[in-house]
Amino acid sequence: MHNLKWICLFLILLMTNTQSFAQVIISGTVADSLQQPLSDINIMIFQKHSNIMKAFSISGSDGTYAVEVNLAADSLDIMVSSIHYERLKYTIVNRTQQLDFLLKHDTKLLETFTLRANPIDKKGDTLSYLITQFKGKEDRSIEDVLKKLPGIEVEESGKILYQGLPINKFYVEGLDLTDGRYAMISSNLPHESVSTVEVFEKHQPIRILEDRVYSQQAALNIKLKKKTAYTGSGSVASGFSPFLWDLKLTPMLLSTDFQLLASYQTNNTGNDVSRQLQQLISRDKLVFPFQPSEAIMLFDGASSEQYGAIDKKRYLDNRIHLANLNVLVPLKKDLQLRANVYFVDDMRKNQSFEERIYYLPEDTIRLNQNYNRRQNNRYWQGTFDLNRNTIDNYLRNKTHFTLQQDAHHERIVNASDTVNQFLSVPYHRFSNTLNSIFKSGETLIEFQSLLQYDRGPQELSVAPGQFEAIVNSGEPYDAALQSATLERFYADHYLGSNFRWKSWVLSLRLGFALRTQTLRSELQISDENTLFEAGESFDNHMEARQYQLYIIPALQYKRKGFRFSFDWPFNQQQLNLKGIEIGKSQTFTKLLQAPKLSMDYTFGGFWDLRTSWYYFQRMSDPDNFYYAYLLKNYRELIKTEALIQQTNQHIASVSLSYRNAITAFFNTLSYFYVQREMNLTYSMQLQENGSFVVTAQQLPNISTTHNVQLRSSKYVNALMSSISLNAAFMLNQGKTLVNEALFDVETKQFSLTPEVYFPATTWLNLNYKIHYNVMNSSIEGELRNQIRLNKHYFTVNLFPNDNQMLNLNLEYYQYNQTGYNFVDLMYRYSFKKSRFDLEARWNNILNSDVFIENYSYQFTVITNSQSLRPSQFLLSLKFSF
Amino acid sequence: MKTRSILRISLLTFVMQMLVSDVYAQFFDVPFKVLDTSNIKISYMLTWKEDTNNLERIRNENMILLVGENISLFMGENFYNMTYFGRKAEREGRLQQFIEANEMEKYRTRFSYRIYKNFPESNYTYNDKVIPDYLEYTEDFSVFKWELSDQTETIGNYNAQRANCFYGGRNWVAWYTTEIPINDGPYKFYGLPGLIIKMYDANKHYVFEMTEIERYKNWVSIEYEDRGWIQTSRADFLKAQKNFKLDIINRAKDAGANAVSQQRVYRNMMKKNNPIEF
Repeated sequence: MHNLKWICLFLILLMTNTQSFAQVIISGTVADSLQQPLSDINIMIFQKHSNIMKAFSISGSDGTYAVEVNLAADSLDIMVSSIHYERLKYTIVNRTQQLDFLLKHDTKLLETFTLRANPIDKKGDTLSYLITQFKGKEDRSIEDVLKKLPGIEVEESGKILYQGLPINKFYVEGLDLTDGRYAMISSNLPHESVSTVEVFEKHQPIRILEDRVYSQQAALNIKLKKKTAYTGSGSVASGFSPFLWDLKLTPMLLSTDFQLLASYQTNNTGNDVSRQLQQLISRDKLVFPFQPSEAIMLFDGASSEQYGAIDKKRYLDNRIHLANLNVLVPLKKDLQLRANVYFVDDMRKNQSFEERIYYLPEDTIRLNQNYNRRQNNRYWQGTFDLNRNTIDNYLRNKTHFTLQQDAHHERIVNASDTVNQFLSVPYHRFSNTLNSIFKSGETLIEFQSLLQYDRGPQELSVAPGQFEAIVNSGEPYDAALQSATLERFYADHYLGSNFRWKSWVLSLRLGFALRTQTLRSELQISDENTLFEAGESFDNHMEARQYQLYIIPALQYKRKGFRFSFDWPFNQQQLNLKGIEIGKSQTFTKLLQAPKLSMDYTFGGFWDLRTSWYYFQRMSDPDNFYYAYLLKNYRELIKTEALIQQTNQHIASVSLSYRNAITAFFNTLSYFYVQREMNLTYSMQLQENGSFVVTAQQLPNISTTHNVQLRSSKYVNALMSSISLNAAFMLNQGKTLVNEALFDVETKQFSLTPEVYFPATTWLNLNYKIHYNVMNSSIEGELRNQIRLNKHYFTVNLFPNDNQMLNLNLEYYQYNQTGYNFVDLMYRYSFKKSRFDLEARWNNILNSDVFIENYSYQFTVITNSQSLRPSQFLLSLKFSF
Repeated sequence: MKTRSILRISLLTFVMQMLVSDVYAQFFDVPFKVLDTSNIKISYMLTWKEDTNNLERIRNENMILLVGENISLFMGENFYNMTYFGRKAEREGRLQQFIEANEMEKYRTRFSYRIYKNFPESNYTYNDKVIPDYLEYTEDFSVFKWELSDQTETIGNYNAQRANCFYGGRNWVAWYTTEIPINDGPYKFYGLPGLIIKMYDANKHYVFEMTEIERYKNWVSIEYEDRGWIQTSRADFLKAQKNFKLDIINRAKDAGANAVSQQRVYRNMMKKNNPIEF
């Protein structure tokens, strides 16, 4: 303990020749009481009796310092200061000299203080802004006023930030109606209806987490002038040709004990507004991986949505009405009910021309067909979300229903025939999910529950009747009527948690699922206005019961540059199938596994090597088990003999990348391999008119796919462009059983895609891409078909200013020596007026009418020409009320 | 038909899984070294203009400076919190939830750099991710050539004195106080005998204002994430950043953005035309 209270200051005056004041150097060393040199000590020279610093030095690691002083004064103030040592101040003579300091350790406490006081009145964690003080003449919505409040920013998307961070809740009178989509309110609610805007700083919306999880984000609360406020927004658009409309109305009612937001949308412009709903539902699928398919689809109805390469808006010929109602009711202080109901009525028309070629060992069958489709989807969907949010309890329960009435009509015209197909697919579903997360000691445990009931009494009619050889002893007949009803119940519950040890993380999920279902189907024949049963071999009455006990462990390990993960789900299944009328029944018990291993290694900074192997065993869905025939569509009659299909699949992949951001040079080479083994082979009996009778046979079937891909890209400074090249090779091999002949099929595909991006200026960018593709189909080693496709894409994007946009697409295709052009121009201009916005849009100016795509798989090559929407001009007006 | 669709789906799922594991693997929970400890946190409010064509558009973000004995760390407060809560979520196995359920959005930041000032070695180390690489460079403090001025001003409770410095293409004005003997400041700036409490460039496009000094009872560690940083130079780093901006459509496409989002990203990127250094 050296607690000597002394400061030693040596003043060694080194007498040198008297110099002019311009060149005074004060130097020396700084050390602590143990004579250890001290670095980072400030030695500052002040004008005498002033706080203006004139020169300084910071001591180096050896404790030395040197200050040059250029001052015309007899004496100077010198100050020695630092954070961990005591501060010294002396007056010295202004001449070159050496001064050494010994400093005493001193940990002074810096007081906590705030430099910049907040000009807004602050009470606790809530700030209040009186709207009258901030509003301007030109402002209309509350959003316009929010933009002016200090600390608040509103982004173009309508997202509100408080001190640079997005707000986590937007309340009106303490209620959260929109669940994050608050721009609907903020951009429409007139500021005249608002008295105060409150900011809750550091707001934690989940109350159980209040003292446990710190929140940096703020929430906004809008306080209304009157008890109830009505508001809303809308947009009207119209154009040609044909006559086009697009209408949207969103009225709102806001009050302290009831809030409502409704919307009505209708258009025939190709805008599929019902997509808003689909996104909401599909999230659940991740949570319950063994859940049955989302909707019951017993028939393979034609869908008009198989075209991948083109924007849906270009071809969708629709007439949609969508109504939506959101209601929020606070039931008790901490209990809220939010209801969300949708109604959709969607009518779609679609026209296309298809060429199908079937390559068989001894034969080639060509089939040209014209499709005329009309689809009417009508459904109700509702969700009731009950949310309990208290300090000691957080629970969310969602009840969902779907009532659907879809009808499809398809008219197929080919050289010999005209077939009409009607499909009626009603579907009803009720489900309930419950989610709760709780703590057990230090561990978080998650509980999830799903209960679901659904039913689909569906009907298919095909006229004239097909498959007469099987169905009607070879006699032609007027129509086939296939009816099928599937009823399912599913319950799934699991508990999940995570454990950690050093660099290892283990997550575990344990669950149990039960599924029961009944399928009834029958085929009726209509001929000369009489209806009769097709017979027993077309009647199905199946009962299925499935138990699944699953455990999903997942292990992860990480070290610098190396990652390893291993998931190994086990699913013990028991499936009980009963053919009621024919008195057959079978039970399968099987442990299914799906191990997945992946490793990733990063080296040399720019390099990354990834490998993975995934093996899974899967049993076919109970929906697909039936002993008797089922007519799937006008082209396919299927009988699975209630044979259980088991698929074992290996997927292996390796990829190596070099990615250098400095030189903007990126390369990835990857390879993957898929091997699929099935215990069944589907035997297809191809009829002369191109239709199939499909039966399952107990014959193992293996198919393999190899895929190699290379992607390289480089930003080239000299050309001011990004240049990239993609190359891919795919080889798919397997066996197919058609007309009792089992033969090898092979598809080889090679593609090369060079591309250049030219971001000329901030308002113009260009893109040119060539896609060269060769596809070879071989049967039994003999090349039967080759498709050569050459596509050129040229795109110009022009933004003269923020309210104008021009997009030009030129596409040229060369498909087996024939050329096709496709030009599309879209121009948009937005006029910003105080109470409304006006927008003009012109699509497909050159009126291109078809889009061609082709696919190839196994022994089939399909070329599809899809009719497009004609050139259209649309003028739209947005307003609020 | 059936076979084909099954095959297509399984390939698609597989590719998606690959992408997913790419995104989630080692997001926040990275091995790290503790370089120093600190019990002083200095907060600065950074106010900046990111679009020179629209100077009305003003952005704010809170930045923090953790001062240790030998090393200090300067970074965005949101980035600090994102890293902290992200790591916590990843360790609890809630990473996917953290990313998808808008939790990460709470800590959205424009700044993912970290600046370590190493006092004994008289240099600073700057690191940041320029998608897809982790880059790092070191520069001597001698790059800051301070010019002292006699101008003084009272800022908060402190007497501050002005100093000027040209760095990274901008003329900077620093107001520092010798009353707080912490030789440090916002961003990379170092070399004045006291704390810089306000700093801005001549155009006032970037303004750092100190808002608070907090002295913790507990020591927090100054961590250095071991991401296998690629050592480079300041010039090359700026080049990488510039290339990223020019190559943005290509990288957005790599990340899986469709044509419409690619154009949106491009438009947004073009509005970020006012970097702090050039």
